[in-house]
Amino acid sequence: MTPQDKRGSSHPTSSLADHFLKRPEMTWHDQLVWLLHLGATMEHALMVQYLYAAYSIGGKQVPAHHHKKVKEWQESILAVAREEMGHLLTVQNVLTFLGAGFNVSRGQFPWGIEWFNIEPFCMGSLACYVNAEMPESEDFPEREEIEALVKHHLKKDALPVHPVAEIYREIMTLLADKKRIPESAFQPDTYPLQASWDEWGRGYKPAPRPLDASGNLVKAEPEVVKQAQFDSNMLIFQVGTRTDALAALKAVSIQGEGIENSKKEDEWTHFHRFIKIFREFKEIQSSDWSPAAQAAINPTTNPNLQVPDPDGYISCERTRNWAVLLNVRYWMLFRYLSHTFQIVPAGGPGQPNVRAMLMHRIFGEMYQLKALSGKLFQMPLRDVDADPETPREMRIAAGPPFELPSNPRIPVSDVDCWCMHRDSLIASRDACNAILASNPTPDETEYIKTLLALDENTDLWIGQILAGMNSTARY
Amino acid sequence: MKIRALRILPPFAIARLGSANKPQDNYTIVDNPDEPLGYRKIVPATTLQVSEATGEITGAETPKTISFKIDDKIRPVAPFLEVFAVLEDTQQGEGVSGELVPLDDGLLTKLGLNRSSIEWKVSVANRKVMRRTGNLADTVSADTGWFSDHDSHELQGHSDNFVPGGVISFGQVRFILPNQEFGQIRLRFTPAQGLIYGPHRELDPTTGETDPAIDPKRAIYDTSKGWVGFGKDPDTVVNQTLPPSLYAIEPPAPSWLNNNIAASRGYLDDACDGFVEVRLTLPEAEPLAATARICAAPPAVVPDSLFIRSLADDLEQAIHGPQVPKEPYEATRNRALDIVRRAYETVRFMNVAVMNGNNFKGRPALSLDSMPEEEAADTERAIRPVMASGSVDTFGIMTLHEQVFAALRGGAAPWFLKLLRRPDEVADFTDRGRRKMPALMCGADNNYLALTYRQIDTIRRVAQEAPFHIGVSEPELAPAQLTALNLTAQLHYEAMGNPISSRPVTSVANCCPGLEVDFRAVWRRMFKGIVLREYDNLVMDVDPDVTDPAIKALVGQQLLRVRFFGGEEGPAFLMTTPIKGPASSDPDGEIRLTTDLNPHGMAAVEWSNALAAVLRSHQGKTVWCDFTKDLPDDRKEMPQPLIHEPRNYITMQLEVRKFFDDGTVVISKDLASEGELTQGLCSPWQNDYRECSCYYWASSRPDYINVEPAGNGLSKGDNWFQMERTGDYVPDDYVDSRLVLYDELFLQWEHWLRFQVGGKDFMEEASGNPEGASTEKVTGE
Repeated sequence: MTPQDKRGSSHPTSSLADHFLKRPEMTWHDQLVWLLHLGATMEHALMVQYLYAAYSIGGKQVPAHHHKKVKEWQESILAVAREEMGHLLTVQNVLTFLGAGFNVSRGQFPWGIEWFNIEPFCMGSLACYVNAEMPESEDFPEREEIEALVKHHLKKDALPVHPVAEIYREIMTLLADKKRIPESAFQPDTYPLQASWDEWGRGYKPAPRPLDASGNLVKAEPEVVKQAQFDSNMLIFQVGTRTDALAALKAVSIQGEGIENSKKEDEWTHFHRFIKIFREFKEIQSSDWSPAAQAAINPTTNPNLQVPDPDGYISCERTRNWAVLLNVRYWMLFRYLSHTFQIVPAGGPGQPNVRAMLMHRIFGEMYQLKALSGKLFQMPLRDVDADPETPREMRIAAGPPFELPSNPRIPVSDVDCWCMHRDSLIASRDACNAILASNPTPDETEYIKTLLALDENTDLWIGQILAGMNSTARY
Repeated sequence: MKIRALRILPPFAIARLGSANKPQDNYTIVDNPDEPLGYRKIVPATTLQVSEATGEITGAETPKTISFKIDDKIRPVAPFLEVFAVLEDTQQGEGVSGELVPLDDGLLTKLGLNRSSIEWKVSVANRKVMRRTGNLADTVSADTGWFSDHDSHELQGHSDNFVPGGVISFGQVRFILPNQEFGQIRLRFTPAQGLIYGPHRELDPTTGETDPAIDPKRAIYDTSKGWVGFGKDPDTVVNQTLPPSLYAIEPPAPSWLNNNIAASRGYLDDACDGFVEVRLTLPEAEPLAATARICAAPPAVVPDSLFIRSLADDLEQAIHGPQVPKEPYEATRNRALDIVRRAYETVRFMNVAVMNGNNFKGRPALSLDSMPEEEAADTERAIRPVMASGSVDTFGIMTLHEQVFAALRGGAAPWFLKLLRRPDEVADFTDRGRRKMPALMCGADNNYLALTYRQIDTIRRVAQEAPFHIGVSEPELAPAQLTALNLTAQLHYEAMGNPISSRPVTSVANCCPGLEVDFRAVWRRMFKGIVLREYDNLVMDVDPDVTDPAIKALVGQQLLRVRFFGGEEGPAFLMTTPIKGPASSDPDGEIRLTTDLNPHGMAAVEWSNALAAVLRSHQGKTVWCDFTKDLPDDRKEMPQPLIHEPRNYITMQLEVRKFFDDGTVVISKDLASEGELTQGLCSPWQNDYRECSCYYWASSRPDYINVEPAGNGLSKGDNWFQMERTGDYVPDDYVDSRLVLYDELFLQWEHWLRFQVGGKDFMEEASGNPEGASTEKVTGE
């Protein structure tokens, strides 16, 4: 049986080592970069998965007396999603340190994989998240129940092995190998190009604590520890040495699943957050209500795509216009992000620079994705879902597709990058105009006009930058 | 039908100083649907024409264009105050009808009364000098006495320390003559011209040279009294203000660049605050009366933008308390959107890189004015930029705020609740604390600005409930009813003819000391029996009628905490907060920042937030107040912590005064008398424009204007106070000759305070046009 055949069969796969074997055409450096790309891809996929689940939570079907609890779940999952973003940035930093390019791909794995469906929050998907993040050695009472739910949800007889922890182990093992990865493989001069917590962290870390007389941090108050489950601790490490890189990757992997004896008392691992939600959900779940919208799995705007779940195609045109807009904004985000890893901050040290301005735009796009996702969870997937004759329980909402182009690479030249951003604005404008032409509500019109105004300002800004670069290329 | 009560609306009217011979035409500001992220649109509104001869309103028209100056003189805002009646329907019993109806000739006739039953009285004062010297004789006060004619009554300000015949004109008031078309009983307050008064002296007796900033007709202060030269000897300053030395001083200025020597030039201004009272004499019954407050303030030079936290926000908190009341979700959401909108309306006038504490073109940040610089000075620690210094540019930050606004408009739940600074975190100088929002600005307690609790709770509520409202068709909000019970409607009432700049929504609330009023002054007498200092928790005095020695002994002690119950259980509110900073040895750690003058590292928190919950539930009731005990004189200026073991405090039970007069939104006279709401402001106020930087009130005293994107992807623009607009920002170090300095303001403030519309210099027709000014006209179309 080929490794690919092993997956998805009733034959339990105990290790993914077969998938990680280095091909003879590759050097060890190539192998390491490839594994890191896989790691980045997985972090990206996890982040989107969690975002989709978090944004699906809510809606008028949630009983009022459950609002507070359900909102807490949303906050917890969003906290995890933000931390995955931190992981993604750290992995990108390590890639940059190795002289490799930025990677924003998400869905391209060398093997079939069922772990990264984007689907609404439900007991089944929650069980998958718990299983994905649980450390092997953790003993908790619901383990068997979780595994059973996962198999049922994924329609598998055997419990597939989640690849994230395995990938990180492979990466760290290889990275620590001085023979296979010599010092010459590293480029410490790329440090300024890497994402820093100072720029990206946005305050998402535990509150400072007083020091005791010995200069050690005092223990956090119980209330602070309790609250921390809803707060992100974004780990974004810049790396300038092998040791830095190893420590960074280790910290990232611990944050997900934790390792026995390594969890800090006042920090919540992803696993602990998910299992808490699981327990609370179990206590109050009922067939009378759902904490999340009934929405598509793996929604897509492309009817021709060979996807595992063709039922995800957003056939309702009005909704699809919004989904296209979301995809455009998603691409814009990653294009800005990729560009920041190429731009060296100009100007004197500590001076405002355009790279930082790009970074602000990335956050701005995150905010728009949030707003657009909320809308898409209220919009029909198919025309029949908008039909008042269709029973409420049969209606399916679309949800945000979060689709990336097949070639997410960005140009090498700075001028071309700016032109590329301008292209994105044109795509966004077209998407906005399509929405305006399809009978939007007054609120929708107001939002789209605001977005168009934002993009107009951005276009002016880019125009000034290109003029400042004395560019005669393209635009 | 009977009248149960009267009201004057608006309950708080702000007049704006200016010397043009025509008052400001009425205008309002609205969202511009064509530019959802742009500046609000200034829209001309119904303007009342008052006959100088008769005092009646001869017409009402909406001007086609709005101008703010005439011949380089600023048009004063002269608000109208209208009288309303609360009716008692005798057929249905007492107190049924809560609607406020205009009191006019028609209603008076129905009630068997006439206009001659109406009398007015206006009393105002300027206590700025008195606040510094402590000498009651330095109070300048004006009182019209009761009048019922329709002549213009000048508010002549007198002081015992003026030379004979010396008077400050605080403007005029006029009982508008009702007529057929405009029958409502109303009064108009026309403020003074924004003149500066000074000492009656020659600067040089040998040459007879006088102060060029003081017209001889306005040289009225007796130089043998204490104001001239006040502060030359710092030891004689007993009750310092915060910020200190807020007055025009003998050069060199400012004082903190010159060994803190602040000898007063003896200047006064014609700003004031006080009361408007109306009285209706009834046959065989007690007269009915109503009161409103007025103040005269500097012009609103950025008419199309609103500050992130206004006096209206604080007054709404005083009405409703720190938590959002039960109200339709859409109403809360609209307020949340408004807060975010005001955030970017504020930040776009700040040169964020400079305000962040960045070096500027190689010049050290310590030489430029900013919150990090203030923080460094107060804590004796090295200056540090607040945000990552590479990431702060006005254009970029403004765009980020606009993105937030857009996303919220798109229905996203606010995700930044934890990024909002809580009022008890104002002295958290760790990176985490300083980076909270609103960033880079100063609050009323001289630390980083926080929103009101109510504003924060507004965001919280929307954050909490937004996920469950997506896709829900919200019911349309009913328009607010003007009733005796609807205090919010009364607070925001728009009297006919009054521009928006006359309303509290355009008055800044981060009063350190403020611009229109020093709102801190209101809280000094919140507890019956004692008088606190307006900017910290020191007990300065006791009420005149206090005989209890235990209360008298509180003078010189600090109020540390207020509790609802005698025991340690139950809500308790600290009046101070620790000053924290980053631990040098551990990036995850924090330490208490102490200095010799502040060995405990504590900071007083502003009253408006600290007492919000107390006000909500305990007005007219007793609370338990913990004061320091036996604090020696030499430590009374050092903020003290509350220590349980050994106990460093004593407890007294004191009654909480009522904030508003019963059934109204008029700040109680018991809390502040005439002149007290403005006494903490700068004397003259023009001096404050030079000394208080934009991080105090960015959208009222802008910093960064004519901002455009530059070729390097960053912003470029001018400093509002640059004499010449070059597009090359001049940072403010207080002494750069490219900036407008003190004497230029004293002599020509109306010329140098240039209105900003659309973020650019507003060009007036037929007036001197600043170079590079926009030719944009504000039209009614």
